[in-house]
Amino acid sequence: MSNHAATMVAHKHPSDVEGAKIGMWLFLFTEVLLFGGLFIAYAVYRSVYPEAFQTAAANLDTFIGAVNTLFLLTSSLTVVIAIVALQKDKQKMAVWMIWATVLFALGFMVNKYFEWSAKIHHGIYPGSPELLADHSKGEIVFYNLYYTMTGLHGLHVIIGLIVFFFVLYFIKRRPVVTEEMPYEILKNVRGTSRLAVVSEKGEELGTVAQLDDKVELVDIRLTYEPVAEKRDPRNFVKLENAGLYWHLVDVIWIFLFPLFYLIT
Amino acid sequence: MHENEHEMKYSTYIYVWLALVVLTWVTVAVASIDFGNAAVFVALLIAAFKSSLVVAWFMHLKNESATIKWMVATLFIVFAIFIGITFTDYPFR
Repeated sequence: MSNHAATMVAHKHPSDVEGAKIGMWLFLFTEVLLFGGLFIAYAVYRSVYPEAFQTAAANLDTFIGAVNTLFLLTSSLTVVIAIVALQKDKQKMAVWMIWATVLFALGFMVNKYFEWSAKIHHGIYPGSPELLADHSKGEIVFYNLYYTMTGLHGLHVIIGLIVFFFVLYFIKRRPVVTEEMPYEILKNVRGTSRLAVVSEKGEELGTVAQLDDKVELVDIRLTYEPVAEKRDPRNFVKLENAGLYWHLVDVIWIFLFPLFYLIT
Repeated sequence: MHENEHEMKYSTYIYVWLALVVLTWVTVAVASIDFGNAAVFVALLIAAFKSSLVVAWFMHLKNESATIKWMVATLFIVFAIFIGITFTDYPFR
């Protein structure tokens, strides 16, 4: 019976994998242009204040930046492994890999927290009196861009985390289906006689065996563990799209890291 | 299985990840060499190569339909135009 139910779900919700992916890519384009504008601002100001940018960049911790780069690269790997695992129908593996991704993302944010708080502790944050008094115009611009761009990027990491929690929910969810079944058939199915029946208004009508023969159709609710071939195919595209988002966050960091930490 | 899915292997992605880690190391190592004005260029070149690895393999762009590939190409052209307009304008103000 559960096979039958699963087939019904697949039919009721046809999925358009290509369309879903195109939608995600279009959204990613808006993200690229959002960060792209900031990268262009960086390029313009860097061309105006090349020395100040080098001086300021030297004050950022290359080690933390490199560790965070490794964290994001590895989290991208775990996402893609989760996608392959889901495709091979290794649900458990996929779930573990998503958790690993979440862990690396949290690690990234913890590093960012220490990094930012150290800087803020030294009075380096946008609009701080010490920054405005002791640093050149170019350095002030550098730090403003640093906070804006890594801040916006960090926000995306947090959003990515939330998205992965949703994906985990969808993968682990046990589908519930409501199906109509003629009473004649239901009462002859083994093991159903003691199931409770509730009217549409919620009144208890007793067990299946106690119903009279005037009842023609009964709605039955099934919670089932889908067999491998019948799992909701939409989970795959959900994970794939979450992965696309996550990889974009990774790509943005791939550019942020050298531009802010390395060019000294 | 779905129509635009391809046979995927764990090992492929582990190799791509290894390449990305090595390239990260290269970026850091190369940063201490004094390339002068070319430093930005070298750093961006490595970053662009790393990104293309992520986009092609991790984001499966190489297996996507021509529609999605052309969309991404269009994005690059649009962004290149933005950069072009900025730098043909800003330095002459």
